[in-house]
Amino acid sequence: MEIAFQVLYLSCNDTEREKRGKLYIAYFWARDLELIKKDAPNADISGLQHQFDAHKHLFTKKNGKVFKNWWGDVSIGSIARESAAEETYLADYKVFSQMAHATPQGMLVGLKGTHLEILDTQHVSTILVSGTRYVLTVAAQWNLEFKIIPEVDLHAAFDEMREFKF
Amino acid sequence: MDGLEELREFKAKTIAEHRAAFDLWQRVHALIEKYVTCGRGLSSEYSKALDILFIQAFKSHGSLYCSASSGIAKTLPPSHEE
Repeated sequence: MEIAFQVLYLSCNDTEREKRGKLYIAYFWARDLELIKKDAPNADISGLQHQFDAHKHLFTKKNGKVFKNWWGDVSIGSIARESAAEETYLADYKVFSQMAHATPQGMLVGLKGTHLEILDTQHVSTILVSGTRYVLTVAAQWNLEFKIIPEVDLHAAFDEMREFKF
Repeated sequence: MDGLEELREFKAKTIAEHRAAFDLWQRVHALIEKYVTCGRGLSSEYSKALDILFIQAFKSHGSLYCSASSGIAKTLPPSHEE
């Protein structure tokens, strides 16, 4: 889900695309340097440090700290809003957040007779179909750029997903 | 019945109960898998970023199978009918 919203944000503004792509790629230098310093403190990081320094103007704040995400310090919800997809984000996030955090509405349990069934699987179809919708959204955007997947196949997959009966 | 056998049974039962969704998942995953390794021109920063996110999305979609079919069983012990 979060990957799909990143793709929407990356792609939604024609004049910003290249800049956002550059930010996305540059952010790897920040993340890699941080990980290597933490996991391999004795490693030679001179090459990485050079790349970090060359790109840091893209991913650091005025105080020198690195942004939390490649798109800045704002939430996924904010970039969904900027991509005109806030409504979808809020609706889906609510459902999946409730499942992930086991709120009373989203807890994966159910009553089986007089027993509480802790292995209830009622949400499995929802998870699979929603995940499929998101990967198709990403694939469609990717295909606009690369034109590799036959459009007819993508449309057929979208149709099948939309017509899914829960 | 040992724990592994119980897990297999649970997984098979879950897949059977949600067969239509697993079939949809499988068909879409197979479609994307066919093209994810194709050569493509990465001529811009935008195309490079989009391509990495596409690969991430494909891998994430692949992991849904495990999460949906047995992920819960991995973290919680199977229940027993009394």
